[in-house]
Amino acid sequence: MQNAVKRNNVNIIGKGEKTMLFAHGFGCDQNAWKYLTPAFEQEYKIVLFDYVGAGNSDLNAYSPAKYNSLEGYAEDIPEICEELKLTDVIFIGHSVSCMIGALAAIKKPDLFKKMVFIGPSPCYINSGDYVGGFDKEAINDLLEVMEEDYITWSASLAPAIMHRANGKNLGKELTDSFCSIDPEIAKQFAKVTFLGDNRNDLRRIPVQSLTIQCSRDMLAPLSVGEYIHKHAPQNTLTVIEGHGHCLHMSNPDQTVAAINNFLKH
Amino acid sequence: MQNEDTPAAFTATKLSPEKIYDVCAPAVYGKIMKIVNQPQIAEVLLEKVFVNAFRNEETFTQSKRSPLITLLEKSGDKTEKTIKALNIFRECCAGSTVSGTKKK
Repeated sequence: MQNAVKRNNVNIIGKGEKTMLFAHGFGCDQNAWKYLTPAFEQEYKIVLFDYVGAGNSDLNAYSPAKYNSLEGYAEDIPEICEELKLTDVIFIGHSVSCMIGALAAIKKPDLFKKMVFIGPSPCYINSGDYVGGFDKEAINDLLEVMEEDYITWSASLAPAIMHRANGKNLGKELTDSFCSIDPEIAKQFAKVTFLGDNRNDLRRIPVQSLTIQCSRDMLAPLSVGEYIHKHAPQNTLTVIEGHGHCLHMSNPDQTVAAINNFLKH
Repeated sequence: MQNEDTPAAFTATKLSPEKIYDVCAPAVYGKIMKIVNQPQIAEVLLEKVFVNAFRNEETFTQSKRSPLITLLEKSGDKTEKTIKALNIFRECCAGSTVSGTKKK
């Protein structure tokens, strides 16, 4: 087995005995957690990592075959835990990482104590009565755009243009540049993320979980949070009033409060 | 008398793909630029609109309809879809500017 700590650029901070493992979402790296981790540093050992292809992960560890499904990413999480001898892990995932964490917990239930899902979605594409938020065409458009220099494009478009296309006024927008991804690897990660369907895995999540849902999230509408709450055993749903997909960055205080409230019970 | 090169006056049955491009591209590019205001993006979208149109024969087989009108509609649609797709990508990281990692 490859050195998972090196492969996934694992960093450990915090002074506590209990372990929190933070797993970033698509388009981000471990820096995305910088607004959230200070609130837990006194009480928890905080383990941060980058998925292969993100941040300072080892790009040479990338295997298109392995990472052609969320299961491939999920394999890396127990490897990190086992290498660091972590147990009773409190998993904090954002976006696609929630399902990656769920898959890891299904495979290795003994490693995890509780799971926190921030803006999760088991399936982004609408299907029958299920409202995932997107039709297949929109996802295909996304994947097509990613064949271009989408990172530059995204950064170069004025917020007003983006907001108008969004059909609504966005709230506070974060403009820092602190995340990095490999554009080529991100294309495959996007396909795996946005074309995946893990709805049937929800019922197999073996530990208590918390879904933190934003009231206005373009990527994961409220219906998705409600679906997870209904189908995942032992799931608690907390809705935070706000806008956007990254509550841990846009609403860190409320997110911390929701997590603390979940962990104390 | 109308000039044959006047966009609104011609139909595809009279013009080759190259001629259609020469005549229509400036207006289509202008339409895309009006939406995205980024030459780098507009140039790629312009190319995509024309390539897709030429691949799809139906675009120019409606003899009563100006290809320019069809191309303008398609360019607007394509541009809006592109912005929506970029929005999805940008929302993934809360609007923060994402930079690429160093190449292997």
